[in-house]
Amino acid sequence: MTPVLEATGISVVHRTRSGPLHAVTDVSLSLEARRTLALVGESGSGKSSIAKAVLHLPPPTSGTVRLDGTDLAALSARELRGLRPRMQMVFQDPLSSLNPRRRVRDIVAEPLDAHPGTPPKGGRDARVDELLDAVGLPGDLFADRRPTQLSGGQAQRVAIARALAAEPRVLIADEAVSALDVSAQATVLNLLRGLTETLGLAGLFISHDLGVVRAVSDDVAVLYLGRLCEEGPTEDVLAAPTHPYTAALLAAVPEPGRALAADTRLVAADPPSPLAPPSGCGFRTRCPLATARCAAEQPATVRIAPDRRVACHHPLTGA
Amino acid sequence: MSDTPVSVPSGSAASVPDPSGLVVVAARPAVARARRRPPVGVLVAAGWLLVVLLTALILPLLPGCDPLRGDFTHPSAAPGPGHWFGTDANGRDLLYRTAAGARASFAVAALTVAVGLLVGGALGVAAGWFGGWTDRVIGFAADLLMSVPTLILVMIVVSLRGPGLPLIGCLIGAFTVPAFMRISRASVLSLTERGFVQAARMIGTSPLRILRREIVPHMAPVAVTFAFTATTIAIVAEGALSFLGFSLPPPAPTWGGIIAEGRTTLGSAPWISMVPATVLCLTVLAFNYLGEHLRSGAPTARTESTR
Repeated sequence: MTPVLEATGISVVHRTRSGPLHAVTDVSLSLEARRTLALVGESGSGKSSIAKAVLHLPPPTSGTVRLDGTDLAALSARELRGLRPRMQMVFQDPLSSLNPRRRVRDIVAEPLDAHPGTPPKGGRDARVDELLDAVGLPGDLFADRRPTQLSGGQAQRVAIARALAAEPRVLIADEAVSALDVSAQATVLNLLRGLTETLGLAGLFISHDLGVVRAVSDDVAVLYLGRLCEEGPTEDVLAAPTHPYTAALLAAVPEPGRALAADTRLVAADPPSPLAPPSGCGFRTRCPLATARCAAEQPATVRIAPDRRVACHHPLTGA
Repeated sequence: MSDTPVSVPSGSAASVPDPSGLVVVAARPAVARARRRPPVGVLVAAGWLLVVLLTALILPLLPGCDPLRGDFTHPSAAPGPGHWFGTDANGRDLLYRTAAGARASFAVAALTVAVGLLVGGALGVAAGWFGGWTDRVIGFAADLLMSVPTLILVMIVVSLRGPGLPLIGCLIGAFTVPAFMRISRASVLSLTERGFVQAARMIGTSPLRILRREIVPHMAPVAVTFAFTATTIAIVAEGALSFLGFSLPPPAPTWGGIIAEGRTTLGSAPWISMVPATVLCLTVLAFNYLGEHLRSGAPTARTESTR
């Protein structure tokens, strides 16, 4: 299957007062239609930086992003704007992503109004009602509300309806449910899951919550200090992680009936600063398996199964 | 990559029974933005401004209310029946003169705000939106303008070009441009970080449309609040200029001009200076109070957190 979106060798470097900050280093991803890739990592690992780089908001420091084969960096600003509807994102904070002064109808219709090229059949308002119905918000009840009159889950579904109005090929959800309570999470997750299936979207789901990742994604990529440390089908990776960091993340997921603290596999609680990353493997300062080799050289990404890759000198086997 | 259909596994959030979006939170009482009654001070301030404005607009139009006609039988008359606010040394009615003088003050203030808001607002939006060199050049120009002693420059220009309210209004307006610029630049900078502006960019909305739909409407409350401050600056500046004789030449009534005329007789006829001075003070006070109320009150502070 040819990927809808292919990001190759993406690096994002922020210039800060205390020197360059390598938010993302040499990350490659490919998204296919009807599949969802989850990007997992703790806060500060560069998840959102990857999302922004993929959307070219702004473009990555280096690396290329191809949407249906088109290199986004080769486009003029106007051409890129024209392509933007093909890649849509749902943000973490549902309320702040909606202009409080506008009505739900106008918010959802913004992609149609901003690109007046092809008016939807049946008219703008009919399309808005259709989209609101698709996300489970009846238009007659919600179209004339303002964002302040919505709950978090409702606001997030309005944001999804807006994304769908653009008729995207790629849908990125950046921590799209982490600000919602659990029942609203379930609604939004099922919605996202269903939409990638029915509309044939390629999904990129960014999260720190492995439970949520398990529910929505086909594949998972684990991010640590801006580098991918493990990739593979979600079920396989979560069942038998090979990178010690993935294993530690899994061990940190609370489960009923299991004591938490006893099984913490991290040596240090906090990740190192991305401003002064450790030499060699970024994870070695917290890794129970770290050796001198880990400090000396950056582990290369190795294919350990047809669809699994890991970047570690001491991968776990048969966990 | 495996193509096995991934079923929604149990034990995760997604297995919670879907409450389905059809459960509508029954029409909430429109998030009642408690329309509390404005405080008394605001009513008094607004009332005073209304009275001054209406008097300034209407009184000079009425027959027999000529601010230039002298009642030579009653020069320097104290306030009382016939002349409620008294007369000046030429017997001209101080109420009529002060009302006519308000026109000059308000005309200058209106022009000042218009120039400051339009020019300063546009420059600030440009500086905040484009950043980089645009921002630096505009910021430097603003610093330059701020370093010029305002009144002295206005006096020099008026000496060269001759007095005139449009000229004075534009000049004072020019000096409020840096402040309007800074304020709107700061609003644009903080607004571009907001989620809904990012969302508009993600959609591919054109920059002009983003400015018009997402940014400028949110700047309005801040700009309007500062417009009140600019109004007081303009009124005070016009008062100072006319006092020094750099506004409309006599006999045209201006607040500063009347105050200046009365200063030689402060001992014997203090009302000549005191009437326009009091009106000026109260008017400035009222504008400041209203502006302050707007700033602390509703629109700006209420706009929900920057995420």
